[in-house]
Amino acid sequence: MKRTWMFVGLAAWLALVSGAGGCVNQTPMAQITAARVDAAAALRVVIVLYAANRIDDETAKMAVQVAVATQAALDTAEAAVELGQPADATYYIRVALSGLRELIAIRIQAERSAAAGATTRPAAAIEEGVRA
Amino acid sequence: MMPGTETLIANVAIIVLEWLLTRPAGADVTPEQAAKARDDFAKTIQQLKDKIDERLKVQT
Repeated sequence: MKRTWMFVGLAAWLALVSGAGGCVNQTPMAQITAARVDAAAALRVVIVLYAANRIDDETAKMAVQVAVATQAALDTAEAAVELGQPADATYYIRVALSGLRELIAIRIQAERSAAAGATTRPAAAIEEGVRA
Repeated sequence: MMPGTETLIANVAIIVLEWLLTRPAGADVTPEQAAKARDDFAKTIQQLKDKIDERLKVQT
């Protein structure tokens, strides 16, 4: 009887330490795809704000640079997954995630500037554009 | 306790253990979903690049 309860206890302990509910864990490919979706979403906000003159050219260029670097890191991580090198994949996913954080920071900064009414063009130029 | 109960509990525990050790590593994506995300991201970057080029052309 004692042995039976030991088995049950072991199963329960394993369920706890292995993160019961496998859906919480993500495979490297799922992490890479999620990072791509998040980065694209952040970039779309940057595009909208740039089109509305709420972001200057330099910020937009920086967003492109960060996005390209993030894309490169994600491509490398994907290649590492395909080659069966999980350690490399994990490293490049981390690199990509720091790029993603930077991209989201740019988006948040741009949104704050837009909310504060900042514009990259002088009011007179915008008025002339509206009149034209 | 009824005879055989102990064996039954042990068997259930073994089945649970087996499931824990052999279940998939976690949530995954289909190759189509991965390809779509890849294309979407690449297109979005290109879109922003085009917008910057367009703006710079107008300025010059």
